Amino acid sequence: MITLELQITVFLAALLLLFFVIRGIRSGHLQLKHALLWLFLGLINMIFAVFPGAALYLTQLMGIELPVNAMFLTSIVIAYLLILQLSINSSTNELKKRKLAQKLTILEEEVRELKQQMERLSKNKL
Amino acid sequence: MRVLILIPCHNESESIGLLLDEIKDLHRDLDVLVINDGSTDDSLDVIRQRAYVKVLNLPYNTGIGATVQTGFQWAFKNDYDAVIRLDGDGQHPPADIPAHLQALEQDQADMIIGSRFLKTHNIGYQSTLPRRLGIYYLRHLLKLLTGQRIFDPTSGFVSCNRKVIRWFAEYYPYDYPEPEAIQRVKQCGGRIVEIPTTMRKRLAGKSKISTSDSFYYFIKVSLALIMFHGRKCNTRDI
Repeated sequence: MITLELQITVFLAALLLLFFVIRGIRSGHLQLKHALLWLFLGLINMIFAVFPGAALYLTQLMGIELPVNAMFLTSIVIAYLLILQLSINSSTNELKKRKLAQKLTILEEEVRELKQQMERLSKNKL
Repeated sequence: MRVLILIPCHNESESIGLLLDEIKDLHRDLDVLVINDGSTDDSLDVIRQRAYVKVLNLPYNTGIGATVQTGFQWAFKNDYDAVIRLDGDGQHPPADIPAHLQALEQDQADMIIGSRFLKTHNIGYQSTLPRRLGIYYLRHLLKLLTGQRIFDPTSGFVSCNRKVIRWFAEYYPYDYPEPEAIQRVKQCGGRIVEIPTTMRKRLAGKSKISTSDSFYYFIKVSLALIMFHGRKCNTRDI
């Protein structure tokens, strides 16, 4: 069974999490597309806290002994998904950064070349 | 045929100057491009002292794959017919450049690899034993996956025609890219041939690959070759 104390703790923790996530979204520090999994994590825990029956149902469904473990497992799975999302993000960002560096490097060389050509041209005119 | 010599350079101030002078002494009227990959020593000064060399200067250390790719992108943009790539540490003797030029002119293949392990030519610097074992393993893995036996799949002494320049400008692997680059050319239907080369020990400085790097190398390259097996040619960077 889930004790009332645990219910209250999980509820408060989930509330705190949702508060920070929503604040992040509203202030623009957290993009909504990256916040979805966080919101989901907060909501799931909120549901478990308010309706312990949901955790109980999940426990039986997955053949787990304690409802608490079902709650942990659910949270961990979502957390792993979040980390995976971050890894993908980080890889994409690195690639994009590299691409920018390459473009910049080639452009820089072209600008240098153009400047030299212009200098030569203006000298000829004089 | 407009040919570009492409040299990636990361902290090679002790060897890059000698290498560039050697290339100049060939008197082959070749364009030379050095891509400086965020060197923290005075490599850039050494390169800029030589007016016949074009320089691309990356803003930070991007790694060998991105560096070489930048060179291919530049070569493609500037309509070069062929690229000959050498390492900046001087392991690849410029004296072998004419052989590459000849192979390119005769259109022997789309990509020509300077190989130190051809049966007729097992001389010169052959690398250390663990690395030779790694090369032996890669040779067989590549044979299994691409159907072609490449005797020196990690060689960075490679020349390419315009077709391959384009493929590499669009997509080039990162971190120890050479075996994957071979795989890419095969996936695009390119022809590869090896010609003998006599590699030297690096002219100066230390190798950048440590023992722990070798372990990562082994895992990364194996995984990449297997995971990217059967991929289409039109892959591009994101």
